[in-house]
Amino acid sequence: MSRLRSAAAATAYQKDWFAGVRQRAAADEPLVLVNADAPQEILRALDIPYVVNQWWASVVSSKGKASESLDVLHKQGFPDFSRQYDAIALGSLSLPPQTAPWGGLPRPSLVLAELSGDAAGKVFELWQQVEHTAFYPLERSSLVDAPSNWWELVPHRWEEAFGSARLDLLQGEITDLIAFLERHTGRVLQPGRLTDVMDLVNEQAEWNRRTRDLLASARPLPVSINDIIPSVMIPQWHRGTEWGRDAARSLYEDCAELVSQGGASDAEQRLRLMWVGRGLWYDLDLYRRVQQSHQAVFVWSMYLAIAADGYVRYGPDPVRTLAARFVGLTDQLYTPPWSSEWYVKEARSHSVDAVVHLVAEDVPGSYFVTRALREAGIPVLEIRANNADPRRGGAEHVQHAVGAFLGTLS
Amino acid sequence: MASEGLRALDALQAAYAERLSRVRASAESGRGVIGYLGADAPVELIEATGATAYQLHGAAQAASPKATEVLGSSVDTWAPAVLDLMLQQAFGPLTAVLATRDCQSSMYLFYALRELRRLEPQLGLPPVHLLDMLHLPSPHTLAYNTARLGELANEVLPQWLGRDPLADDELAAAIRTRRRLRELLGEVEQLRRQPAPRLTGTQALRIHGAVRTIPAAAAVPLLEALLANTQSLPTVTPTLRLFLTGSNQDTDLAYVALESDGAVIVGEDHDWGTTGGYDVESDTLPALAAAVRDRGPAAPTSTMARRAEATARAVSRCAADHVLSYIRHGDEAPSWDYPAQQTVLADQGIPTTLLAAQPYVPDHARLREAVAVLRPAVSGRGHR
Repeated sequence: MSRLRSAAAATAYQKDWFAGVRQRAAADEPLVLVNADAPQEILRALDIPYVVNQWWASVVSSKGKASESLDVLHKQGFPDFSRQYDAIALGSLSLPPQTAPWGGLPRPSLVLAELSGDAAGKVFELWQQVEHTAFYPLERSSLVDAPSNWWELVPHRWEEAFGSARLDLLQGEITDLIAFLERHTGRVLQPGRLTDVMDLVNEQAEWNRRTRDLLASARPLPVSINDIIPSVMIPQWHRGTEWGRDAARSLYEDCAELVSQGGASDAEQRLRLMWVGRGLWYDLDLYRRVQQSHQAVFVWSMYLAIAADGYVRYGPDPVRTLAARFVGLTDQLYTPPWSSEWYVKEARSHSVDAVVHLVAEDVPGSYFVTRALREAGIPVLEIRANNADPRRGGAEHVQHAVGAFLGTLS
Repeated sequence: MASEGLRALDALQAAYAERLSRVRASAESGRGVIGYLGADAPVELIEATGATAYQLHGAAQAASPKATEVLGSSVDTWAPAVLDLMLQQAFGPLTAVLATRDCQSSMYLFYALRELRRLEPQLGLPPVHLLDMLHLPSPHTLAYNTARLGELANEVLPQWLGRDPLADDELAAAIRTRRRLRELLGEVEQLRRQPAPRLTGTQALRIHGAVRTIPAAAAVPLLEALLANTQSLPTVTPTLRLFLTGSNQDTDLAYVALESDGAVIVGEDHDWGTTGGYDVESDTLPALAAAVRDRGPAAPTSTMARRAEATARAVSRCAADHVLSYIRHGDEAPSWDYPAQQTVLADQGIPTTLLAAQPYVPDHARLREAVAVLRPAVSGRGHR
């Protein structure tokens, strides 16, 4: 498979950007650690530097430092078997500077997250033990009614998709958040700035949709999931910038070029696989090894697909439209029947032969996702492991399970 | 007169022991019974309609493969236990189930029940609705809770019960009755805090459990009779005054085991005790929304700091010798609370012990052993 120019470019950009974040933090600029399910667009519009918690957790995990980070919390008496994905960043603050990934995470002045589940708020509450770090919580409301085919509703009909009560709640919270950030940073949200950010995010999402649709029909698949993930996700963390929008366009153009060239494949692509669940950050090479050993290529991960379907929102009021993006962001991925309907839709559009479903402990409804895919005639392997904590599952276990599963497929 | 207290106590204990058979009979008789999940449920709203509100619970059996498969192995083991009873129709033909967001397991159970009802109608599961009540102390959360309560009162309950939306005076009367019930439960707690308690923890848990299964209007006279005749209740002499924190206790199995050798649970801060209630300031829907928002502090919806301070205050009120954090497998929140609780209590000279990853059906012998080793830690505090 060809390597994507956009993947290398994104990774290089990210390293430069992070070095800049460290410099800005050292110069006493505010820095926010924000969970992926919280509205980063506000920080973008206020030009407040931010690091996405899950991105940093993936870096720590990929550098083999997740266990050490979680051990920091364990020694303080906290459970290291709960909310690892949320907690790794906090533990990583204690990594020795000489071994911390990319020089280490600077101390954030604020941690911003939704109260998802029973313990997420407690993990972020612990950040307040770090000197001069505050925690700003947002509610996580629930999907009470679930109209079908959410991906058709959310771009324009999001009042119908999510309901006014949920939108009113998050719109009010975002308004308060803006006021809080203005008070504590001295920055002022300029008129029209948030609208500009939202427009750029939509443009980026539309490019991602084109890329997803292109690759869904490409035979053979000319690019590796290992390249797709950083090519999509790094720009996602820079949503609302021209760079992010342009990176998404470059990804499409790179893929289109490879598809038009016939997409030389390194090995026969005998099986088309779908990876449902979070990326296995401590062993991304698994995807390449599976292709080499079984001629089975992962044609789908949720990262490009949710970037394509889950983020675009159009509306006249940028704050309410932003609320519409985040109010049910995780419901799209994890709450049945929304989740199961969407994964089946994606599996069919990508002509998937089988699914590997990494089941996370903090995600409800996994049974219904697996069930829906199987009822659609698609074999599913469920693996119960933590995507960022190698102690819960482990690379060897995952590879062995995948290999055994693929051996049963004709 | 004296024996009336014992009769009232016996009636409450029987209501608890026979709760499953009684609710099944009630549902089968055609009386509207709405099962609810979690202490965030506004029981007043249900009772104002004339229906019976029944807090769903598990039973002393290992989870079935189906329940474990549907909910996964990482969820609080309470949830598969409830799902099993639902699948067995053990509660009888419930009119409906009202789930809440008191904890993530309740929410997961809601999504599972809704999907199973849709995908497998032959299971005969009742209609289910999620009442999404949240807990941050903000006006936006209050407005959201009020809107969700309004939907329940004006749309969901009328549809389930085939009646008109609730009138203000119906709700007000129900709020007043439950307020009286809560006052009486507070007086019941006083019976446990005395140097020689007149109620064991198991008896108190069963009283709290019983009033979650019968109408408040029926529970109030029983509690009044009990409290008017407390002298008839024998006293107990604890060998150890325990305070229980950690997981909710929807059965009495752990209490029976922990108290089986002379220890007495003199208080707790899980949702099947007084922590599971809330004070409604006025007899209105917005007041009810505020009360649920501010309920607790419960482990899944509170900060660790607030929870630790509340535990310490509750322990002091009970003059407990030792605090036991009893945490079931899959119940995340109490594990995060424990270090702060331990620190605050240590500052007050109260020892703590953690029993983590406990199975849903407690191992009676192991719990007796666990309590037995706590005794040497006691050093003359409290009323001993």
